[in-house]
Amino acid sequence: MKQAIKYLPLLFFLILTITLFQFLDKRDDGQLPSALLDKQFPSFYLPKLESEALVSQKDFIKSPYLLNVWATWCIACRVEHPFLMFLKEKSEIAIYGLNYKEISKHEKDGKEVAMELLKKIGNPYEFSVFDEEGKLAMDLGVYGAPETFLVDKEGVIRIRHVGVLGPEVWKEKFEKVLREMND
Amino acid sequence: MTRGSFIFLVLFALSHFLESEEIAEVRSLESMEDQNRFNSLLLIYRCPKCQSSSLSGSDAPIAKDLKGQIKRLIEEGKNDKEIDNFLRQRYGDYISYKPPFRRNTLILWLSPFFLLLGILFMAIIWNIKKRDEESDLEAENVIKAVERTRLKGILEEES
Repeated sequence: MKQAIKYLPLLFFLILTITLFQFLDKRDDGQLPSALLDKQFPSFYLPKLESEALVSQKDFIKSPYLLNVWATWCIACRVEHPFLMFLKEKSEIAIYGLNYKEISKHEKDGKEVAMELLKKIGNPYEFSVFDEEGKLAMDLGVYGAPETFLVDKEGVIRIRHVGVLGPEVWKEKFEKVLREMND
Repeated sequence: MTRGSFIFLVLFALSHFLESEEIAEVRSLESMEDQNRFNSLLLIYRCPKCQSSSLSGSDAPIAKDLKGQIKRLIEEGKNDKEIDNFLRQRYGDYISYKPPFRRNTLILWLSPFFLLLGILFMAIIWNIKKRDEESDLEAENVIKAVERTRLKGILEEES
């Protein structure tokens, strides 16, 4: 017994070392677990970016789609833009935009600024929801851009990805879930 | 100090002034009670963008939005529980500095007590060990003293 107690601090140290070692592998990418995963897409009623028309969640198609949060002030959105265009060209999946808190510039309002950019670099979206005050974004728990949601045909959020969407993330995260959905 | 840097300093001070005015606008609530509630709520919730800071200590745009939202909810007469639900439903448990007591947070809540128990256990054992050693030493001393007197007696007899 007395012998065993002598080794207790060593044992404690070992357990601590092993536990902390486990965390070394986990890369902290600043992603928060989403509270909306496997929940119904929140309902909303907001203007379209392209026109004065109002849209709601019912205007999204009844098959899996992506909702991509973007804005002209968001630099990382420009990084993922070519990949979104690639997905559109391949008609892989319907992509909708959520224009998040667009800023106005030189007498142009947010809508004009956003539309101008899409005209210049290409528009990967079926349409974009114009969320100037971040109302829908708040219901989605968005805290920055870009963010991408994968919603299934029942309108349930299946993936939330924070940060740039690229080929690697697409392969590892999205394709797997999409395959499961089709099975 | 050059004139340029002086002007810069003045402008810098002014810009700070403008900023604080803006914050004051976000934070003004009708009653003192609501204002106090608002201020204490801002300390409980975390800024989702800058995860080691509370809403109160963050100037990130999202923190500003959330402050505005909490203010609106207070004005709508929502109680603390409802505001908590609103934030958790959207941003998850992570948004709050107060973790819920659930199965997956059991370790978090109970480990300090187990640690305390462990330390207590070790302390008791250590004490017992120490007391044993002391009584051993005492016994040894007694024996030594007895032997010494016996030796003395033998020596005196011989001389």
